[in-house]
Formats: sequence, C-alpha cells, structure tokens
Amino acid sequence: MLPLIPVFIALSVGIGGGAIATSNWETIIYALKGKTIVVLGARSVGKTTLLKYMEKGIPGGEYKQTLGKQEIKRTHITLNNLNIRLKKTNDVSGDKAAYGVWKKLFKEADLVLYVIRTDRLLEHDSDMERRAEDDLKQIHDWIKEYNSRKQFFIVGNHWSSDSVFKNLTPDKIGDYEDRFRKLPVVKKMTQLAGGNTVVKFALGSLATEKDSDNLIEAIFRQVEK
Amino acid sequence: MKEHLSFWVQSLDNKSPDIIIKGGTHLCDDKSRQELISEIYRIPKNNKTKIKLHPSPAITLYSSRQKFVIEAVPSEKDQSNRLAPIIIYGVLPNVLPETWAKDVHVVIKAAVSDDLKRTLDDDAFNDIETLLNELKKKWNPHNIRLNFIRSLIELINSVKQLLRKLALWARKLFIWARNLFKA
Repeated sequence: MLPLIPVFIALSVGIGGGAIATSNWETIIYALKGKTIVVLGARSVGKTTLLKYMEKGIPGGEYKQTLGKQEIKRTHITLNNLNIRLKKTNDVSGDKAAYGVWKKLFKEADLVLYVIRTDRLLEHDSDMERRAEDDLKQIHDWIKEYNSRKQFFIVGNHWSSDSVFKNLTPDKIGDYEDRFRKLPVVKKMTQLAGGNTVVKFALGSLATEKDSDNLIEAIFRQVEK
Repeated sequence: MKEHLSFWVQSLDNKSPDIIIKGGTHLCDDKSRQELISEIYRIPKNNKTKIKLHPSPAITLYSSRQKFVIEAVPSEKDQSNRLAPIIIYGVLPNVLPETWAKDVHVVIKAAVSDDLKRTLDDDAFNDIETLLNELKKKWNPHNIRLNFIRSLIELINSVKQLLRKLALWARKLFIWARNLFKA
C-alpha cells in the first residue's frame, strides 16, 4: 500500500526582476522549503484548477470531477521568474465521503489550503455556508487530535463570472476583502481553524494566468518559516 | 458477483451527496461511505492499464493484488460542464470462473443504467470486459507462482552481488589496516 503523497515544495532557483523583488522571493522560497501542502475544499470550488495550474501553468480548461485517486505530477511553478519545484500530490474529491482521505493528507501537511467560492459566501449561499462550517468542524477535530500547528489558509476563489470581483478597482479590493472576513460564517471558520493569529487569507481568482499567479503569490507571501 | 463490486459517482448538480453503492446497496451512513472511499484511495495508481479502442473516452483500470479500480467516463456532464467519471471498485474472488469478465460486464452494465442513471456505450462496456480479462490472466495462480519464483531468483542474485561487494571492501580494509600497522 502506497501512502498518499501531498505536495512537497522542495527547493527553488532563479533570478527575480529587481533586487527588492528577488529578496522578497528569496524569503518566500526559504519559507516554503521542505513544506508540504494539501488543497482541500468542497466540490467544484477550484481545487483541481489550482493544482492543475501549479502542475501545468495553464489556467481553466475542461476538467473532470475528481473521483478516485488523481495524481498531480512532479512539476514546478514559475512565479516572478523563480521556479518552485513541487513533488507529486493527490487531488481529492470534495464530497464528505472523502473526509477520511482529507484527514490523512491533513496529517501529513504543513500548509493547508482550504479553497472556497468567495462569491457564493458573499451571496449568503446557505449550502456553501453549511458545507464550509461542516468542513471546518472536521478540521477543528483533526487539529485537536494531532495537536500540531499547521499554517492554515482560507483561499477565496472567485468564479470568472463574478461581476462584482471583475469590476473591482485596486482601491476597492481591500473593502471587498474586509466584507468577506466580516461574514459570520467566515468568522466561525476562522475560529474553528485556530483563530485570527493562525488563519491567513488569500482572495483572488483562477480565471486567467495573471489572476492565478496573483492568487498563488498572495498565498506564498504569507507562508511562515 | 454483485457482492464483489462497488460503484461511486458524484452528483451532476454538485450539491447532492455522491452516489456510493456497495454490493448492490446504497451506502448512506458517513462511516461506511468514508471507509469505502478511503479503501479506493489506497489502491496505488502505478499498476495502471488504459484502453482506448474507440472514439469514446478511455477506460482506465488499476489494480493491487486482488483489488481493482475501473474509471469510465459516461456521456453525462455535471452542472459546471465537467466530465463526470464513474468509479468501479472490485475484489477478485478466490475462484475465478471462465466467464468471470463477462459476468462482471453484465453486473456493471445493469448498475450503470439502473442505479447510477448514467450512459456508457457498448464499446465502453466491451473495453471494460477486455481489461477485466487481462486482469484475470495476470491473477491466474500459475502466473503468480511463476512471478514469485522469478522475484525470488532476482533477490538471491542481488544478495549474492551485495555479498561479493562487501567481501571486496572487507579485503581492501584489511590490507589498508595491515599496511598501517606495518608502517
């Protein structure tokens, strides 16, 4: 029986655009070195899109529902002219029946990326709210069971059709993020995952290459050594 | 035959729970659903056979000892316009009748249309039968015995080589130590 293998960020090499950018990225790369990532979330929120983008660097495309074991091949992400090499991982189903598989991946991970549809939470979609709460209750139990401190990210993925997000001007993005963080369900999720000091947020989109780069960068910039 | 097979599909609306059937029974309680899915994930994908004899999507089979997983893609897509694969998980019975692959073909065909309400064309079912027949050949006890004997011979040869290398190193070390004391 082979173990499920989450993403390992092994090492990276490359040259940044400017001195400051390189320095920032070197800090990020240093923080990421040796870390293990797992991507969790309900069905159809963008887990596969995120992992496939990390694998191939191509956003969108026609994907399958994730059932059974879906391996993400060894690859590297190129961000800001820097390559971050990844070892293979498993993409997991978003159904609650896969909680047993999620638990195993969670146990092995240093970084947990919980992907959620930001637009649907902002619309107070009750199914999405309930599901997010159920998932985080499970995660809360695993945190207690393993008694280990993991870096936890709530990754808000806006759908490409979300007109509110598409029409945001740079000066309004902060307000949008604040509105998201103040949602009662997001507050509850944060509390279940360990509170404000543990949970980090990265909101964005996986609709285009640029959006995907920005979202991944927003996650990686917050990784602690 | 039914008791050796399980089926798993995701709902097409991406909201309703996945349909999980084991031995002809719909699994409803969280514990048994999670146990079955974890069991499916434990089958490594490295022993994989893919077949694509027709224009329809490929059928994939992967196996580990007596357990196997088949992935087939029906014509239905989900609300997000994604392909919605069917996962079939099975355990080979200890005694394999001559008609085993054909019998499994019949059970799968009935479950896909009646229980899962999905559409696979006849080519896909025939491909599944072909893969099952290949699996059956591999599982043939005579082949397993032969493979075991081959593996054993390989292991003995590897150990022999290792011992030879160790003896060489020990000899070098002895000569080096002897020269050291002489000096």
